[in-house]
Amino acid sequence: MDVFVFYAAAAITLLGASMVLVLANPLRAAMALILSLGALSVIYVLLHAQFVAVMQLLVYAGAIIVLFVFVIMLLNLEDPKTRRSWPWVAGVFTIIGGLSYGLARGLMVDDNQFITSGPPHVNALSKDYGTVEQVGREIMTTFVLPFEMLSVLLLVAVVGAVVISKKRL
Amino acid sequence: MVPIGVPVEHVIALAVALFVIGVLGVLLRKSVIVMLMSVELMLNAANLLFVVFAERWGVARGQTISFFVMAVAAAEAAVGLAILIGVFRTHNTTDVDELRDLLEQS
Amino acid sequence: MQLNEWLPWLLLLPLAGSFFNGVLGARLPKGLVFFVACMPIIVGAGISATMAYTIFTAPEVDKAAIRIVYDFGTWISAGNLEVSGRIAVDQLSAIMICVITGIGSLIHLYSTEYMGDDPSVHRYFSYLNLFVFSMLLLVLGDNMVLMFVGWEGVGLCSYLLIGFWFSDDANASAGKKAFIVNRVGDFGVIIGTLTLFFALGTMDFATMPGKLQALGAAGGTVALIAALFLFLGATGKSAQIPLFIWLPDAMAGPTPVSALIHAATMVTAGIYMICRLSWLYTAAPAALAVVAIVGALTALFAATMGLMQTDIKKVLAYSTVSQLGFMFLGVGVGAFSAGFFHVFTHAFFKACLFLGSGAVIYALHHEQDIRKMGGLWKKLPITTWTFVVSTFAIMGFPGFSGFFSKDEIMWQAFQSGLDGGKLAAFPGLNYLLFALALAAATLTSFYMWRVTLLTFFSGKYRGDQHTFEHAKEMPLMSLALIVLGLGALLTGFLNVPHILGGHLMLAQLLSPVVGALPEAHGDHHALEIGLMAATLVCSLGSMVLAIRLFGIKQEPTQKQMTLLQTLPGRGFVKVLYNKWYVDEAYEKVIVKPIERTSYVFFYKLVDQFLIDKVMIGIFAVPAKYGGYLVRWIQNGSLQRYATVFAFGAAAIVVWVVLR
Repeated sequence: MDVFVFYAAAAITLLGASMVLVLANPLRAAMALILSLGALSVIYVLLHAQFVAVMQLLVYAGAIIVLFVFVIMLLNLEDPKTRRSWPWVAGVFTIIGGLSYGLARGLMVDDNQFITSGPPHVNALSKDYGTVEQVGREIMTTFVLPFEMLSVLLLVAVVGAVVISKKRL
Repeated sequence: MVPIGVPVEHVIALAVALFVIGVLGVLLRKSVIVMLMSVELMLNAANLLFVVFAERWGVARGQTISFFVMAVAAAEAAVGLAILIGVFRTHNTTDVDELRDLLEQS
Repeated sequence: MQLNEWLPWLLLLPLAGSFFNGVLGARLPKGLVFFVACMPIIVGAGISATMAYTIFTAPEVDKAAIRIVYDFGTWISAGNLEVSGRIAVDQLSAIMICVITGIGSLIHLYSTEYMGDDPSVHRYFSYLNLFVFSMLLLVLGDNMVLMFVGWEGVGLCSYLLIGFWFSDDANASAGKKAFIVNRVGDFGVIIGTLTLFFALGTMDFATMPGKLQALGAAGGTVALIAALFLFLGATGKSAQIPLFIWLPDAMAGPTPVSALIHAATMVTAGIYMICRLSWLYTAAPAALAVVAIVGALTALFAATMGLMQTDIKKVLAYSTVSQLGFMFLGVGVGAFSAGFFHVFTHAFFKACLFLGSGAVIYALHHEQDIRKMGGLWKKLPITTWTFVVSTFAIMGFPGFSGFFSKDEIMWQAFQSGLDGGKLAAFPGLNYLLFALALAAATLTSFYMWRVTLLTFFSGKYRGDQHTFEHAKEMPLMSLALIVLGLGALLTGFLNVPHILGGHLMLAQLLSPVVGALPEAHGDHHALEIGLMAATLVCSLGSMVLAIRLFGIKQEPTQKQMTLLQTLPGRGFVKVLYNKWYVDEAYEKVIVKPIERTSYVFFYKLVDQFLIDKVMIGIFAVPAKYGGYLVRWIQNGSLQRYATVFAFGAAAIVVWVVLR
């Protein structure tokens, strides 16, 4: 069951991403992006990352995409003359497929340092794996300094966004 | 609980595919706003890798990092869109081919 | 608080004032600018006076060794080179800092009125405070390197202030001239300093004399080389032959600057350096003789140039060169304290003269031509009387300060050749020196009375009547003039010679630093009195001649006026008016050949041929065509850049994976 859902979600993710790439209208592209990222959050759940999955929905669908849509509607954007033809699209997706398969194979070669260095793969996960408690504890202990710095970053981003988009600089 | 029964190669392939789509979006689309969306796709590809390897190794650290990546992505989107609005005000377009101020004889 | 802890403040306050006015002054009200500019110098004058008092009233047993020292720590430490950041006050520098801050604060006060209307007055005061800082550093530095830093610093400030009104091309080039001529001299200072360092292994004033003695016979050669090169530097800074040409041009700067930098303090740095290194010059009698001859020649030569000038400040400039020549004559015959005493008195009367001329120029709206002045005593009484007092001082009228200092120098010049004198090894030289000095003193009296009479007396005002009616004096300017005039009147009594019943107090105070005055063997009282009388007769004679020629109440005759108006005249007068054509000679002998060489060699050969043809052919042309190949990247399109970047990143990934 899990495996089937995974492949289904993966297919939807790729479909949404591809639509972002090819759809001419930015508003439609934004909707396709929601589709892609939503499917991705399903994959996160399957990979036992419930907290990340929820955050994915909240942050992306709830905040970022809404921001995109607002901007699109604010500026009343039309997609400017996208040069698109079906051979071109086919060529692009051939490249994507070839590259993904090749790279994945290349990464999985046994003596490759990307994979072999690091802890061994496990067959069982702890009971609280991926829960809010576990991730939250990690954030509040080991990563507390980056966490605080993140708040500063967000503050700067907020102020910067306001200043930049002001009518008169 | 046990890890999902999908080979890790397939997850990596999915991440690479997402990433390449993102790259192509940035390189080929002419609308700045779609380019920004493509950047979000690339960030998510990286997040996916963090999460899957965290699961394979049974440690939650990768999930924590992906949380940070999301926060940074939010900041990036906010500033990027603000810049987009500023650019639209001055140039009245979001077509990157028309935004050529970097060229000497613009 | 220990006294030596005040010492850094003496330095840092003017520096802070300079920084403050330089950075913020443009936005501040003028009153605050004036306050910030004047306070550091006035406070510094208080500190200096306290230090001088402490040093000169020290108990008899400590007198020789007393120094107030403050150590900023090690400044440079490299190999066996060790330069400390130590500043110290001893008897010599105590007097110098009193002169610098004392006259400096008067001139700052004076400047608030003289420069008050200038739009960039904050810049002026910033430079002026920086100058005071540099000059104090020059005087306080306890080793050659710190002294050299101050030496360069005052040169910089001199350049900046001469060219203060830089929008006028003549002023800017006068500043450049001063700077470039001083470079020649500073080159000499560097060579001399390095000679001393290589020979003695140290640059501390305290330890160098001992090291030189330890060298034995070789020490004489070292001393000669170092002394001559350092003297080259002194001729640059103190405007002696052959490098004096910058000082008259330096009058392009504001008049208070001429008074402070180009009369009272900076130009005496050369004499200060020789006094500071008196042990070095004593060890090299030949160098001393050179100093004395150059000084005496300059004194006479500059005096002749001053005779025919018509610009009031130019007359004073040549007079300064001439008086500096007297000082060098004094130190050149080994009478360091006599030369330094003239520095001291000269600082007062020449600053007073310059400020007096400044008051005249201010009152007459920037009129500097003495042919158009006259009769100003009615309108500018304080200026007139202080100017007259200073003129009496500079001509050496008995009782005024210049009398004591100049006669001390002349007597020392004469007795240096007598049995046991410093220059006894060069027979006959002392007669020559004395004759030159006597001629210079005679001419000094004439040209100073000429300028005084033509400016303030000789009948009625010869210029525009309207300007004359509105001429008036300013309170702070008059205050500075009065104080300096009192100094010109009284400072001579610090060093009354034995023959007039004094004790040579200043010479005794300075003796721990520069050694005692040389004394010839035998009893020469009658001779000394005779020479003094001869000098006096000559100066008074030329004073009477000047009064006969230019008159006090009565106007000059028609013939004299014609002579004045038609300058430059003919023959010798024309040569004098044109200052012996020295500038023209330098132009022909040095400047033109350099320009010619630069044009032919550097411009035509190096620049036009080697660089424009050869180098461009070899390097630039291939680069140009190579540029066409990679130009497609830089088409200004964001996505072109991103594509190139992505391919680069992809290449790195492929390389890492497939390695």
